[in-house]
Amino acid sequence: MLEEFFFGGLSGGLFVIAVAADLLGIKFKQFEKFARMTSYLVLPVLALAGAFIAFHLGKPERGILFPFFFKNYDSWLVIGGWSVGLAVPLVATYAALWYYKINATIRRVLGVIVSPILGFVSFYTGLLLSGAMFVPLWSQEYLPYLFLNSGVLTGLAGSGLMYVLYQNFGSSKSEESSGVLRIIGYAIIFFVLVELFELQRFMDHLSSNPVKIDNSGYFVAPNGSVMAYEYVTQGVLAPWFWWGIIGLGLTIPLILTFIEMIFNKVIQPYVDWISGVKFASILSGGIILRFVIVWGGELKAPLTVIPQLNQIPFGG
Amino acid sequence: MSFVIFIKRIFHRVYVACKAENDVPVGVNRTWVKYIEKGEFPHTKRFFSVMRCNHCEDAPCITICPTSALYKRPDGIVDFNNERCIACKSCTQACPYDAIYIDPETHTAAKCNYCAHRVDVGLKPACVIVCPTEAIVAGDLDDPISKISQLVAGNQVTVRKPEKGTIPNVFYIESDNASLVPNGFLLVDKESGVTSSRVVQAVKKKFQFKKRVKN
Repeated sequence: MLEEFFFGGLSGGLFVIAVAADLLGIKFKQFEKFARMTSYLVLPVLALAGAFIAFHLGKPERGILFPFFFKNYDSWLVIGGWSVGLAVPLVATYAALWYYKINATIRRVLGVIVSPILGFVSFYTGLLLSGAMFVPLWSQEYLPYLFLNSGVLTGLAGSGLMYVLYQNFGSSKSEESSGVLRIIGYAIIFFVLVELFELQRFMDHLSSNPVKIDNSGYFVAPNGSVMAYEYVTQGVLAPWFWWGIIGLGLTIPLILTFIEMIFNKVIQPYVDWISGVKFASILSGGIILRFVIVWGGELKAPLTVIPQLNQIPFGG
Repeated sequence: MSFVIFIKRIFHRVYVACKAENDVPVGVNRTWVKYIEKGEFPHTKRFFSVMRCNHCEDAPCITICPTSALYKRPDGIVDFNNERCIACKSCTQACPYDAIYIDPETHTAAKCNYCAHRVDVGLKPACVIVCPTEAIVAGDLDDPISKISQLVAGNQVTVRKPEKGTIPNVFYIESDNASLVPNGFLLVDKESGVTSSRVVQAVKKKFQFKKRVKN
């Protein structure tokens, strides 16, 4: 399940970055190559997300024929399914406009119009989980924004990594690449800081043991959020959370970006390698974030053992 | 449609009847019978508790199901259609009672459906018929003269996880936390200060309020 969330979020992020770079390309020509390459990446990543969703289903053939089966428009899976279904032809059109160099204005207008849909694909992965409202970790208040930010951050890293690889192995290296990488660096600092802030707010929310009054107004019910907080930050998932998300996914990229900026002249010969490590680190952190959130959802409130997993004693 | 379950009368055979009636594969259950041992040797007793779909009034599995494979029938039974299910497993996560499983043979979601195929032809669910002590009573709570209505009105009944607001329709008589919660945890958190009896009173009050509105 975490693969579809990762690739779904990544595809949304990649498209938003591609359109932003396309718009920047109006004034700064060095972004054109980066924008074109990123726009080609979106469709395969989105297709990969769709494939993972289909394989996750017990009846993949019915999932592929979702227009005939999705009927409940109160379900986020239906809304998300349609947004992915709508995104595929639009993303393909956008990439085709790049490939055939038809009309830059039409392409940019289409990109701006489609960006919210792809942004929503990233956002909805959080909404989808929070539909299971008795899972304390899957908060509708925090997860969608966290996944949206992570989608853009991993989108930056994915496009940046492809750009670095392309510059080094795919074509003759241009002088313009350092300017593009510097702007990506600034964006990474921004989105890493936003994600750290979101994670801190999310964990604060969980650890504060929020109580909620249910629909009837009769019950003030603790929703097990403290258990979820401890499970993630001190329990089985703690190494993944601290070393994986905070360390590998956010802190290391932040440090490497600062090193790139401060010691620019000293590290110039190795800048592509450092950028490559930074981008790979962000992508790994993005996968681990989904891993922690998905597996943290095993914990329901109050903590119960799934009846089907309980062994029924013989005899008696 | 609702169930009333007498904890101190229940037998393990309701689980077997359910399995046989619905061809439930090995490894999964529509009805799970929990064993509860109480007392200290040699003064020990064993009780059984039945856990299953609660046919909630406000069923979260129906809300989350993208294909409407899970639906509420006019008689209140939360039924499923495995011809529509895509097995996305959303319902298994949404259900606070862990009552839904993925059938290893059909690869679709399944759960207690109140033996809807039997109810449709005027029969009672298999677990009700098989129990010699009448530990499980099935019926219509909207009918004031039905046996189940009188049992719910005249006894101290409780439900599982009332604080979730799903308004479950499986009521337990002579139950305690050990028989209602799979691993015997407290029904509600100590910090909230909500005791079991207060929870039960609130559920009954809410239920009566709903009935008044219907009438």
